[in-house]
Amino acid sequence: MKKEILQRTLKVGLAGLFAVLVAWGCAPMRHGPGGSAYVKAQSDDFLVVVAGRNDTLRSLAATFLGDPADAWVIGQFNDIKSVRAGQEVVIPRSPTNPAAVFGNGYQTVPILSYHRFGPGNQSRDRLELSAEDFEAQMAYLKRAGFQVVGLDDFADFIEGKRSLPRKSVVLTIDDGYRSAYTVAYPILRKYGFRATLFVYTDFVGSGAGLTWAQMKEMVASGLIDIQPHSKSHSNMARQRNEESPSDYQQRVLRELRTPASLIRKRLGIKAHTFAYPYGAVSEDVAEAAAREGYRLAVTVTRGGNPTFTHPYMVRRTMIYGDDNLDIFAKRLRTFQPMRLP
Amino acid sequence: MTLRLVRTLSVSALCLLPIACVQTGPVPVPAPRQKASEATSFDQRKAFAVRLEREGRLAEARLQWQVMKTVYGRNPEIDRRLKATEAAIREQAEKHAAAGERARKKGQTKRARQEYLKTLSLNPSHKLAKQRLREIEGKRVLGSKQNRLMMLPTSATESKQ
Repeated sequence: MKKEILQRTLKVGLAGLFAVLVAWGCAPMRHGPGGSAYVKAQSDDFLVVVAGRNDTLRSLAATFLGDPADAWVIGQFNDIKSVRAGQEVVIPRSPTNPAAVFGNGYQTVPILSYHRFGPGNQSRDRLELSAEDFEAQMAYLKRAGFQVVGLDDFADFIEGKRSLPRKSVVLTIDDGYRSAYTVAYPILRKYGFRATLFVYTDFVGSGAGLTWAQMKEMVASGLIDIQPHSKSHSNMARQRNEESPSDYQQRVLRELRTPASLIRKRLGIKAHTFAYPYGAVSEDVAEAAAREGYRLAVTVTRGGNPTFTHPYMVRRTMIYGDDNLDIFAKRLRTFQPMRLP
Repeated sequence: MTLRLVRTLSVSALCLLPIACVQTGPVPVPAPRQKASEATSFDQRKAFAVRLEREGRLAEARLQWQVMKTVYGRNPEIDRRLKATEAAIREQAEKHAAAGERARKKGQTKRARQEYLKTLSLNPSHKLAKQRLREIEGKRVLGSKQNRLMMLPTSATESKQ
């Protein structure tokens, strides 16, 4: 009798186990072989991918977009912050909204302009920022989820070739003061932030100026780009009283050409963005910058940049030594709300 | 004994097979504020795209129909909806672009800017609207206080460095 009960229990148990295995085998496949993501469907515009066991947004971006840094593209399109095994995600193959103008407003990219770094608050010079304040600002960017992008990315953005994360910011440092190397560079390296240094080449190697060796070292880090800020830092937007129209034109061309040629020769970098001295621009100077082959030229007119920014009149916002963190945060507007029904 | 056991197991498995392979329960209806990532079935995706259309978010609706076309391939309903959305976008975008041009000619820059922005919100690749907005932006920078200050005689303005 006992033996019969035991046999029956065994039969039922085995049947149950078998049924569970069958059910498991019939369940929809949640990931590809070895737990990797697989493509469920694709077209010229989109990939529809099912995430694998070990997938993250970064791994999907690396596999399907060629760059883990583009994880935000997948996150933003699907409105997700992470991905789980078996989850279906849509991956756009090209920018889905190259204008970044939406029904409720448009995206803007702030470009910050720093100058020199030193004692800061003790200094009467507003263009000088203390190391502590600069570090606090970089820490804020990190903490608040800003993505520091380069001017090449920004150029692609306004040309409609790529989208940028919603909270993107560009960092620039003007003139070529040595403190960009001694103070700012170590902090930028700590946070892994990219920055563009605009140097006027007559200043290079002078008492407070950067040396070519220092610039070379920074460029080698992959974080720092060096771009022209003129030869002598003269105001290019205005013809001087003593200058003939022809002399003025020659000066403008000299200011545009000499630093580009020196930077290429000394650092092997192609000039793509020009920073007007004092941020001053006229229609003629903007046209000259375009003719000289620059992709962008930047001013110091405050404000964020939408995709429809004028490429030779790009806005930048100066950061001053007496700006506290609240003021700094207000300079970082990345969206201009506007009802566009 | 062994034969009986195998027979019992096979019968049990066959009985359980349909239950195991069929996903039970009704298809969940998308929540009112559903996100794109939550719509994965045909009905959910369709409901999401239709809701975007109703809210006037035509550019986003178009993307959702395109995603559906990617997932489900040739489907007469999706093709029809996608074409209709694209036609509505074209019509409305051109209407706003023309209004922008009219305002620009009258010197109503603010109104023109608004119309060009509406155009781009519908058709992000509209070249004329982007070009006109660029011109307006350029003029704003040229006329900014910061830039105008730099056009004054030298001594007052060029002492920062």
